[in-house]
Amino acid sequence: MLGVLAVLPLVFPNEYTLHLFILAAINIVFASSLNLISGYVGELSLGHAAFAGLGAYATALLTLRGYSPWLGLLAAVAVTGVSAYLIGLVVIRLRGAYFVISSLAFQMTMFFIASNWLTVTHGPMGLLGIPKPKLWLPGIGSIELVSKMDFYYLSVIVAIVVVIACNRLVKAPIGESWVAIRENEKLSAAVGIDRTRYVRIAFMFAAGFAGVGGWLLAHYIGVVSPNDNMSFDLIISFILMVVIGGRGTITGPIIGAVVVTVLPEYLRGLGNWRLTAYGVILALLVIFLPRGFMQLWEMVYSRLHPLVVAALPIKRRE
Amino acid sequence: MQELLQQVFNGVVIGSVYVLMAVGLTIIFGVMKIVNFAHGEFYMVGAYLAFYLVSVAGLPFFVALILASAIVGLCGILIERVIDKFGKDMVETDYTYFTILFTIAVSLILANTVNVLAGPSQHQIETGLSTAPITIGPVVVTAFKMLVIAIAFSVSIGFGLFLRFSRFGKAMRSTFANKEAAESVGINTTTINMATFAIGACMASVGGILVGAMFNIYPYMGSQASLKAFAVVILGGIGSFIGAILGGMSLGIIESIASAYFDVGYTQAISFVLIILVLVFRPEGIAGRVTM
Amino acid sequence: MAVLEVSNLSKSFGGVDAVVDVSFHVEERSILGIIGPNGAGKSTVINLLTGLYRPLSGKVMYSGKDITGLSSHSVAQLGIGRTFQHTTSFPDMTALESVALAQIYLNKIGLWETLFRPSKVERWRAARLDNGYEALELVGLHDRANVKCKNLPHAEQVALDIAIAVATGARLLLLDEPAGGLNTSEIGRLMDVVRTLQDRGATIVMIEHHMALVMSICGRVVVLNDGRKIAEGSPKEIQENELVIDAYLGKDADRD
Repeated sequence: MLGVLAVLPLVFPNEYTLHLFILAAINIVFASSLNLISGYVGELSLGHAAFAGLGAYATALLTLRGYSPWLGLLAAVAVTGVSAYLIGLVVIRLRGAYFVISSLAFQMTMFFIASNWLTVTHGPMGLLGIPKPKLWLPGIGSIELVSKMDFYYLSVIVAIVVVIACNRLVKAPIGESWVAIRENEKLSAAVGIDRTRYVRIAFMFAAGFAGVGGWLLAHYIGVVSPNDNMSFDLIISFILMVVIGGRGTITGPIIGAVVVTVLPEYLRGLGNWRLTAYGVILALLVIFLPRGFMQLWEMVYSRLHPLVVAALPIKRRE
Repeated sequence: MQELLQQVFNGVVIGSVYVLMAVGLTIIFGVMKIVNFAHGEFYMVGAYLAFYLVSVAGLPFFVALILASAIVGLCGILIERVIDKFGKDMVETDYTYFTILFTIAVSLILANTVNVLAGPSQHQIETGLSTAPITIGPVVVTAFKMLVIAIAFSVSIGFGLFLRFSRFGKAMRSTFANKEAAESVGINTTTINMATFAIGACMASVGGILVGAMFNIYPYMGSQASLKAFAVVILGGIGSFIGAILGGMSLGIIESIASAYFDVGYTQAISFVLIILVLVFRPEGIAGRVTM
Repeated sequence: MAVLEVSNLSKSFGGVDAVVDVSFHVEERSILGIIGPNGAGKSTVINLLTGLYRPLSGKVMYSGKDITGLSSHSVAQLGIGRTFQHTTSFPDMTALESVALAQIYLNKIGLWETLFRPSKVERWRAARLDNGYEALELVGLHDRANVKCKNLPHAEQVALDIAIAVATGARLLLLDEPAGGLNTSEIGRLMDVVRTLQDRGATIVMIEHHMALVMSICGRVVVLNDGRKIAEGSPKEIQENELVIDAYLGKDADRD
């Protein structure tokens, strides 16, 4: 797998294809992070773009003043993590529709601030000229990751790290607690799981990783603005990614991210009708395939291997 | 002082529209537990329909108002039927996801379709009423603004009376309070659900048409309206009719007064700041009694 | 020695008194039954003890520790387990997975281990599965370990809920109408399970409607009616208690 990823840009050196790969990797980061709170814990967050945007602005503001983009990365994670903690104080005790609405309110507030705090964010014009990260390699010295190929490797490595981190979180007691809270909140509390604590962890990790995605996007495009980094369109695409791929799984968001990245290509022929198409896709998905592609996969898999499921070895102490 | 009264009056005008929107949204949530993200689009579609009925088909304003709202009401029923058919057997968390995402999808489809078909430019609905200012005491009004208050209030209060005193209204309230109990005494909750969604959509549509006649219409006016409606419902308390009225009036007046001192852009922020404040300090809103 | 001491517990909902001044205690390793007509407040008492509701007034002491008004997860972490009346456990998890999950709070695997020591995480998980299997054996579900909770028939669901409560390591078990919906042989198995738990050192409080069950395994019985305790004593004493008989007959009469 790693080998394939490493060789990919050499096989497809086309600038445009590389661009798609990079965007896909960044989207994988976004989708996997949203999945933690909206897939595993099960609370639909419409505020994810706000965290992505916060990460982007944090690094933009620092690097435009001459600091290293790597410091910007730290800042992005710190800012999103802390905001998630603070926002969490308010929204974590909410559930269902209330959580959704308050996350939307947070989203719109952030968008509003980004659009109107002209002295800091330059409003809708955005911040331009964000530098690329530099890497210090032994023997070669400092290189700037300017070319698309360079950025491809950077974003793929980051995406892999994020996915591995999410995977580890999910396989650990933390992840099991999330699922327990989602499936039966009363019972999860009755076995000693502190909902507030675990939802907060999910929320902060989701925000932090979203900030990382925002960091990647900021340095890739070189521009941050409210419409690029925290618009409502962005949330729609985030949600589509999680819903298409299958929330509550690790591979789901990856598939969803890839699909959503290339979707505009296929829908290009529809011109202005694109958003309507997204709406139709979303509607059909939530009706017929609520658990996304992974649901489809599971249906196929379970038809083909019913015996495997039943014959799982029972772990016991001899 | 006169300035203040003028602002208050303007606030009452727009507030009465907010009340309409909020009542529709709150009954949809209260009876069916659906957070209707497409509510603003009912508002917008109604306005566009009325606009075309008036400017293209040449219908008088009031006929267009009623006809357009009726059509939107029917659309509402259609959407409700789809939600009911597919969401009926879902677990609560799945149902929340489903209704929210589905109504978001509907709102996307409606907003974008109108944008493509009608173009992004703004229009205003002709009412045929004189726009000459009339002075009543310290306040300057127009005939139409008075009419807005009259229509919005008569619809809202009319509905309130209907809820309180008619048999159907009582059935609605029972379903609102406890669906299983209502079903067990023989109330046909399917009909109630359809009617609730239809009425909610209708009221939103009326609101949109009134605003479209006072100011203007544009394809994405729905998202603003949705946000305001949510803000009012949360401020007033989900499930509370009185809350919707108090909340709607409050938001309208606060915004109006604020617009005298701040940029228009900032007054929009009032809605979401309000949502956050309410959720932090008094989640049940002014008059709500629903616990989370 | 009293493991649980409930003093003057009260709760009302919107002006309606659900539980009024209820006091009782539970001796270690005993089985206490709580009975009473429908609506007597029995489940409310359990919910008050386990943090689902906050008491209006009163005190709850567990092994000498004041646990009044503590949240559900805190109560569970102190060693009090419970079952619910209508639950499908964790629907999409298997029976084994749910009893493994019930042990999570016992070892606080921190963020560091989660992210950087996956093998340690995996070992902890394997250990929980082993222990979980033992809990399943205790209630007779060892051959249903890999069945999803939502696919378990009702009687097995009840057994699983008990296994989950036991797997948390709880020393005090609060069972809310476990015999509901069980047939005679299933109730017999339930009795065996409860007795086994008692033998292994657990203290049990059981809310029940099934009189034969209560009378045969409970050491002492508390009777509630309209939110108040109206009687307390051995099963025999309760059966002969006039107030108790009236309470039940009264309710029956009302129903005509």
